[in-house]
Amino acid sequence: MLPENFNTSDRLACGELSRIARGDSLALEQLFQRYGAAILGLLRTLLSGQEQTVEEILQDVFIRVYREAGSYQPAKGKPYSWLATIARRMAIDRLRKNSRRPQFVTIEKEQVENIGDHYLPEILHNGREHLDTALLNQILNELNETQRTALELAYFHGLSHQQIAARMGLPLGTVKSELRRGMIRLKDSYHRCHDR
Amino acid sequence: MIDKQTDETASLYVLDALDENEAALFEAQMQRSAALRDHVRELRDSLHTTMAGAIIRSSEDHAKLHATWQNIQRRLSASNSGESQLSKALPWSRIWAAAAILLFIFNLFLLRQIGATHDENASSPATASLDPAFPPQATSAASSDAVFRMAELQAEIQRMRVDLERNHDVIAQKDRTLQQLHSAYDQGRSQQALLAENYSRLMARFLPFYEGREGLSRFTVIEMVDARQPQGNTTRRPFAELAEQFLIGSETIVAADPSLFAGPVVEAAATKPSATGLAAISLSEAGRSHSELLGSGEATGFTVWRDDEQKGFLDIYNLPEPGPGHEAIVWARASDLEPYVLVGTLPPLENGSGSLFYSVEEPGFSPSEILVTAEDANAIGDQPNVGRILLRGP
Repeated sequence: MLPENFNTSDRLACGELSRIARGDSLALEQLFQRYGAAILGLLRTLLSGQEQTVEEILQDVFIRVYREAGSYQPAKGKPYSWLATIARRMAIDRLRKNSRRPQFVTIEKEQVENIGDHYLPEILHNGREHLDTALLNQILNELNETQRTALELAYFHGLSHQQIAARMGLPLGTVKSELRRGMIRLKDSYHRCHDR
Repeated sequence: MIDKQTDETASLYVLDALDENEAALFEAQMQRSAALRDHVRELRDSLHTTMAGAIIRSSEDHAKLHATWQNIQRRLSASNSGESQLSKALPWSRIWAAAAILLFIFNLFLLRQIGATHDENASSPATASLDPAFPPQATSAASSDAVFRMAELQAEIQRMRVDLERNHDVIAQKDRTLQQLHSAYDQGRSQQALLAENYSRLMARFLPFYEGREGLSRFTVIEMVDARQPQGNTTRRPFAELAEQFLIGSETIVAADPSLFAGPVVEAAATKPSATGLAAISLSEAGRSHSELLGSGEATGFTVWRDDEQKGFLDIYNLPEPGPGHEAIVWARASDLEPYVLVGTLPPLENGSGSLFYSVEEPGFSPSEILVTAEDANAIGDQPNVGRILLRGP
């Protein structure tokens, strides 16, 4: 039984993961078509300027999905979240393994405002329940500067809350609170937009 | 109800910003609370979906994705074939056992290194997860990831080795085939060049044989000759050679089935297997070879008779002119006891030489003698005028 908040695309992706777990490589191709571009974009942001590594990890992500599709549990999150988690952790592990400090790539305000020209994962374009770019733009703009920077540092650069605090020159408690508020706001906005 | 501290921890957990111990404690807490699990799930979905919207798009995505998918397919295919090859590679079992031991030692070393690194970086966020539904998080996952990565590398090396060996065989086989094709091509080109060269030298030469009268008939040989040969060099080819080529194929008359022939030819062939099988016709003494007869300048000739066709072929050399008011008449008879049968009048011959067919209108006739006489053109009778014999034999 899939969670109620799963849209059509999520449900299709769940079916694909189920078939992948049984060794269906065609389902893997369908999943790749569904989320490949999204994961590519995520990896590009995480591994800015390391295009070769991006492609390697993109391959690794889907090979890992092929081998571990059976461990995916819908109750723990949407398929895209699962893939994004895998991709993000692989990328961050690679950054740490290479002993490189993450390249700080700030999402500029104008980029956010012109988000219509930006990449949007197909998860958002599949099914009737998709969120459009304007809504995502609105969600991100609802975060204050501290929340958005803290979230970017955590999400795109894999920094711990201690590291974020040091980087931003803020007390640890403040970082935790801002991250929490930012997450809650994301969640609320996401649901609000989703329910429209 | 989720309190503020738990909510903060949930946010950090979703962001992978907790260290290993914190993550483990939080996951234990999640195990006890369905509401917390739902909350984490919602945080996670909203985070990933929303943050993904901030990712910059590249115009090269399509080509990149296509290439990446092909690479994924290749890796999966290689992985599958590598696994099947590994199961068959029994002779390598000892080598791989040694490799496995080395790998195990290396992994132990790696785990120790990772443990030391972890102690030094206790404040780093955890990437190892106790939640089985989602991938392991970073720090404690590093060891298992490293082992996984090493196993992947080992499998990939094996796959590459198997592929390499297989490719070597395939390449060697293709090389051999290619060499054979090259050789055949070169040979074909040489033959084609030779044929083209020969063809370019050829020209048709028409060799007329003589118009017959009555039992004599005419035929024409079209012979392809070397174009570089002087045009004046049109020496008539011996009838034996023509007979070989145009009457019974490429075999010699002797070598052909003797049952097809009767009369003097068969007898000559039987008594002189080395002869061409033609019966010589000559007024001189018997026993002279064809070449001797031809070189003598005397009137001579050769004949062959086919019973199945009731047709004979006559080759004449150096026949004297029959004289004014006379014609050369050909006669034949089956035996000394039989009368001659009129075959026909010889056409004018060039230098007394020519080739012709002849036939006799008597069923079952098989000549044993050919006679050529000079007859008065106005008084040709049923039997030859024995006053002047131009040629007789054998």
